[in-house]
Amino acid sequence: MKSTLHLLVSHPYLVLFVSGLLERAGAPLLFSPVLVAAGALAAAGQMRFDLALWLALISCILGDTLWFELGRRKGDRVLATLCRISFEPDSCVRRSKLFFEKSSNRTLLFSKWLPGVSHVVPAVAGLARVQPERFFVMNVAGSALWIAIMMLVGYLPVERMHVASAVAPVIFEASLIVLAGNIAFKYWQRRQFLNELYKMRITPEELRRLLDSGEAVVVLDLRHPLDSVSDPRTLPGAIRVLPDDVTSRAQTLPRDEEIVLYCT
Amino acid sequence: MAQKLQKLGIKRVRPLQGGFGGWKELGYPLAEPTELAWVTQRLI
Repeated sequence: MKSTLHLLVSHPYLVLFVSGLLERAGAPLLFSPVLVAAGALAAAGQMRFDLALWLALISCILGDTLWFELGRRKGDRVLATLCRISFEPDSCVRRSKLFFEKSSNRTLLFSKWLPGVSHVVPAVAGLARVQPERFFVMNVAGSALWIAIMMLVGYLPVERMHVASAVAPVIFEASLIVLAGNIAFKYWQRRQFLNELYKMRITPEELRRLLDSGEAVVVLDLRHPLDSVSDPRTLPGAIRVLPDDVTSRAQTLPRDEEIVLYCT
Repeated sequence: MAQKLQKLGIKRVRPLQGGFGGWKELGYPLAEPTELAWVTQRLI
């Protein structure tokens, strides 16, 4: 472990770029600790602040543009893929769409501050047919702001302490350990969630048999209105309900009938 | 969502495996959206 960390510390530009690219490509890791650490290394004179900022920004733009284009071209299928690789599949897409519905510009500017949502936003922007030029400008501005502030969080304390060269690698290593811990915790959460889900779910074949046999089944379509852009159809007899309205309407749902929920 | 409803006392609730995309991929029937669906939604 220690030798791996030393290897990473000795290749900070590579680590910065690759982790940024992986995070934006959808890998379940946090990029922010790496940015803080890069700021600390820059204060210690072991990295160039401007070069690190540009590398991080390019990695963000590459990853986000990829998802934006996929969202534009493939629509819902991309969101389904993001759900599969996300550690928070039950909430990430829904939350992104809600933010996006309120204000697309503000969401593009500030989504980087919302772990679990930020990597879904470019695909949702593509799905919502945001103009590529507007997406590019807002995304670059939002990414640059986030990267600069995160790097300054690491840069300023180290610069003021005047013990930069000794402290910076320690901060960097600590950030990588936090990153590894975050991945392990999210993985455990994801396993717990999937185990519960597998126990409960109904297969399409089972549902079709129930519907064909005329059994009383209530089917609720919980897809967000943005999903209707790519396909407005529903399952036969399904009732469209916004996810946020389901719990408030729970008292009106029948207790003696099978209720099947579906989203994208 | 299914877990939330179960906590609210609705025990017979299950999520559909694969969601809308999974159902569509199998070529199972789909209904066109109608005004009735939206009216029903408001009545629930």
